[in-house]
Amino acid sequence: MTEKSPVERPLSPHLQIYRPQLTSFTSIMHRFSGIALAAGSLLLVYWLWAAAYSPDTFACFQNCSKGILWKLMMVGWTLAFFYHFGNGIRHLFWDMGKGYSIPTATKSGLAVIAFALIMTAGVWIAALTHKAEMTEETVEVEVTEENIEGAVIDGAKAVEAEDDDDDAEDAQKEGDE
Amino acid sequence: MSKKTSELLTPLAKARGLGAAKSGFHHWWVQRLTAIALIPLTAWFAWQLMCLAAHAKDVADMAEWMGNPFHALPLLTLIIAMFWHAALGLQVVIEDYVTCPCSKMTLLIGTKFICFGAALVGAFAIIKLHFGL
Repeated sequence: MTEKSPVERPLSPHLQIYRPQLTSFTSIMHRFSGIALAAGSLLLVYWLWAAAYSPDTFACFQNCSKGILWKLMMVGWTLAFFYHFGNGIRHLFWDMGKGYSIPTATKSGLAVIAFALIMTAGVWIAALTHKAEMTEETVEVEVTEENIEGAVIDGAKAVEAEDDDDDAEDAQKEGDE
Repeated sequence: MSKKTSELLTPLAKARGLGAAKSGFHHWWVQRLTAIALIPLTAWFAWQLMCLAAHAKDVADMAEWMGNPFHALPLLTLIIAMFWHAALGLQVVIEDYVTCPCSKMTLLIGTKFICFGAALVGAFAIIKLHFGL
């Protein structure tokens, strides 16, 4: 059955001597981002598990997630996600037989890279500005709390103040770390 | 097949029905099916995750979010589709780049076990949080 092939078939290109191109770059990055996402998905499962297992485990996880190294990892993961998402759709179009010409493939590759970068930047700018807003709010709350101190407060306000107190404490903890 | 028939067959006819053509398509097809399913699921969850990261402070918040079946069910689907997709994708990467048969087999079995286990743990956690068990 295993006869020698009668035709001299071309070898697949050797990566060491093959000029890097946008299409080959986007191709290998699809694999790298896929591997990164597979590793990151274990973290997602650990997060769910921590929430289901015990409040302490979850609190521990939340504390870990405030570190700068963690944040950097999350930025990387976000980038990998949006890249794999965009490039995956590009692959699905190829599966339908569309977009195979080299100019189109280059254009769609650039579009996917731009999409991934813009979405990652957007998500993290939104997340960080939201966090800054939250911190500002708690500062405002601290001031009003001082204002109402000693004043006659009804039940509703007392509950509010308690909630605010918790928030302020949380913000302080965050600040300490 | 007898020797005589095999001599009469063309190389293509000899190759048909052997090897990856039997099972390769299934792998390819499920990879695409899970990919299509993951487009809306991950887009939805990325949004939800941002909201959760901003608002969920403790387990009670998580349980409240997960108590909604319109959150728990898509997330459960996402976990299953995601690890299925990951298992198939990692398999291809390992088959392509790992040449040593021993480490190849170890990695193939290892990634399959880890993906299956992680999906199970994730599903368990979602169900537990949803029902507040």
